[in-house]
Amino acid sequence: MTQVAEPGHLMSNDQQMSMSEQESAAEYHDGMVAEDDDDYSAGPVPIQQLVGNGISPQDIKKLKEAGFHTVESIAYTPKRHIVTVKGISELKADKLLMEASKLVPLGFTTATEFHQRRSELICLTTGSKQLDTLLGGGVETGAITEVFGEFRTGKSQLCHTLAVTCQLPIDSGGGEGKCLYIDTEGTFRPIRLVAIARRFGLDENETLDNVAYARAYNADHQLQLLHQAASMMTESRFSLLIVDSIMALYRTDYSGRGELSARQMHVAKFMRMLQRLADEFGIAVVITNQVVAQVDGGAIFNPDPKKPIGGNIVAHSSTTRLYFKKAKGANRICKIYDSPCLAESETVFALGQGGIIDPSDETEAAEDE
Amino acid sequence: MDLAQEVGDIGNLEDEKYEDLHALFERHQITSQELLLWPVKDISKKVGVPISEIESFVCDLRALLAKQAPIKRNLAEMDTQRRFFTSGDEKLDKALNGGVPCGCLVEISGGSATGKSNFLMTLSMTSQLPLEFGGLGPSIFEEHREPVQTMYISTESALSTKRLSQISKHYKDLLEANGIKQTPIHPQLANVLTPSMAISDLERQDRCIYYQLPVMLERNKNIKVVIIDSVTHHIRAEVPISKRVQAVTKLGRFLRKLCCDYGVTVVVANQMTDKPLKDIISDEVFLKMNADYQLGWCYGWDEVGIVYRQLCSRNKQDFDTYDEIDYANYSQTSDGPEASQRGSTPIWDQLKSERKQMFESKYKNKVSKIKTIPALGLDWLNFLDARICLFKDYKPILNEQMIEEFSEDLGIDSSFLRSQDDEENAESSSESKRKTVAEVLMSNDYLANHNFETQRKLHVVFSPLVPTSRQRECVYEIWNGGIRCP
Repeated sequence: MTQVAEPGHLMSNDQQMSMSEQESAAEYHDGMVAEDDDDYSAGPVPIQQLVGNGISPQDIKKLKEAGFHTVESIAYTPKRHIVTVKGISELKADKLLMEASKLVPLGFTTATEFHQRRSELICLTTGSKQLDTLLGGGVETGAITEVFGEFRTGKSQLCHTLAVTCQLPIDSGGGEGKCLYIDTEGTFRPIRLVAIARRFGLDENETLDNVAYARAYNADHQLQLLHQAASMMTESRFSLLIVDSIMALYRTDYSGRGELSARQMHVAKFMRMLQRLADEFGIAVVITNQVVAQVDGGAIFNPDPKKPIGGNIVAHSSTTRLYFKKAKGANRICKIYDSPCLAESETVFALGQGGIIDPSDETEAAEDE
Repeated sequence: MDLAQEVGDIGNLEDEKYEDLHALFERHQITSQELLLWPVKDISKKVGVPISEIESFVCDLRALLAKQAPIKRNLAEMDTQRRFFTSGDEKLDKALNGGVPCGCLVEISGGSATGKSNFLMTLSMTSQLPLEFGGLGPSIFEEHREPVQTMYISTESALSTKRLSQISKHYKDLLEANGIKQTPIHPQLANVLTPSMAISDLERQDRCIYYQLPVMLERNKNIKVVIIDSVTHHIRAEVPISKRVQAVTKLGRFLRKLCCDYGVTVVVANQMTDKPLKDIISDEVFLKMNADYQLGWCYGWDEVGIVYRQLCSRNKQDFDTYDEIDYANYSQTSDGPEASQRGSTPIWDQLKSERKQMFESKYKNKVSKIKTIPALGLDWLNFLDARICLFKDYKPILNEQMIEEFSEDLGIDSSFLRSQDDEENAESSSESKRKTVAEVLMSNDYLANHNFETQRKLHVVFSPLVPTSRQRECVYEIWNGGIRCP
């Protein structure tokens, strides 16, 4: 599933690099190793640098024949590709990667820098001020947010609202991007989007145009859609990916305990792909999940006998987990179940014509059909 | 040849000088063990190479192996080394018998939302504290300071720096309150290193851990702690179960080697997985020498949990209540031949009644969480120096005064509380009062569903610092400044 750049395309011109140039490059790098590795932009390092330490000129020759000409090309190629070069054993590949890693910049930065980079990530408003406050500004981009709860607790309503608010300008809590909506249960209702778009004063048709909708029919299809999503996201600016709901198809595609491990591995792949899209494109990923009654017998004091499905894998993969519960009328309770940076607390929001709204006396009195 | 697997890094033995020999050994299926043990003459005859060549190869191999043997250290030297660093809280340190052990491979396992990441983020800060505060940093009186750095490799999602800066602020305030104003001493984000690219699959994780990390540790000697959050995530998704042993063994061995070579402490997070009921290996349920019993112990289960599961797997079903466990029947069958052989049933009877008591007292609260175990199995467990399990639980809030105060709003009858007080019947009151409170709680809709607080518990399963007989559990909470005991 990983797209690996073909090693052959890298820098064929350094073959012509004369011997003296290589020596000066060697000196340059010897000097640099001890210092900070920020200024490595001086160009590619010829592969001859690797000779010594158990790597012979013959090995280099073999690698050159296979199209590897720079140290960088070795360092960034997965081991299983290097092993395919004729005459390179697994052990040798290890050695090559080890030595190559010493010569290229290491991929580490300080948390301060990382923090600065991450502070550029925005939050998408949910439409309810109270809910936004609870979530520390809204639904985080660059992370997976899982929403679980019984039916009619507002999971899909939140998805519909976010599909609109992600298109708002950044200063009004949006993400200025399109939305990709993967639907597995057939709960997507464009008419709801129209109503929500009116509330936020957006053009209805434009709003609908900006929501890319895909219906998934089985678990493999669901995963396949994510690969297509990646290519769509390179073409235009997306800010949100919704999967409603993540486990529905797995429940039918895989049944029984015998297939459990196959299922869980598939789920794990799917979750990782989501995380990867979130990292690479800086989008917010929102998934919904169903609940089942907890069957652990004996425990009298169980605050809520419902738990989300998908087992340990989904539980560990989601960054933030939210639990939706019913309250009076059209009011709903949102509880933070798991989050690396938010305290465990809960708040009340409400469902209305315009999607997720703040609770009021009206919503509390509203008839909950 | 199997040299690579046996010896690991084989240095200059892979030179072209020996290339032909390698091929020959492989063709004749001579293992490195045989090379060391067999007479050189026999090998040379079998392979068809002059004795002198084989001799020089074996000689080099011996020299190489000698180099990799553990270095002798004397006790006095080891005594000066730091053996642990603080977890940031006095009580937690007490449970850990000092703190997090240094130079070890430490695992923090726990289900989702148990606070693994918070624990690890706290450690990344506390390790930077100066010597006087229990950290690994140089003493505050030291003139020339080299700050302690931490490597934080986050694989599940990007490092939550927002939270990390909160924690670092707490420790900054703490040090300032103690009169230490110099900023270089404060734990800070700048001393935490993290991969600049997200680790989104096993390939990147492997490159980061196997190739980049050792180079980084070699160059930057200030890195004292390496945190990986978590090791399981990608292995679980990409490595099929049949190949997992190999991947896990390689990773475990490599991390252990990092600990030894660079003196760093490697703290990793592990996820949880369900353990399906399977046949127990040995037949005897109650013996502590039983393999299944010991495994259960290694997962961090307590005795009740282990015995319960053994009974479950024996009878191939889940029990919902204690009554369903056919205790009397079972004990008769198990006693059978062994007991009669020994001819001394009292010990067995005693054991049985002990277990039964334990079951009756604790069983009901324990059942729900004895199904999960830390992932990656026994192969991974073998490499660990210390395992710390985190649990999350719910506890009903039994504050009688509060219940009374809100009784009208909640629509419950709190008169029983008062009437009990009036009677002042000391003997029966405490027992019956508890019961009625519990009953009322159960019957009231609000209290039964909302009146709960989360309780997190840390359980030191094993650690080089903790003797097994000690109390190894500690309740903790997550707050603004990381983790602490309430």
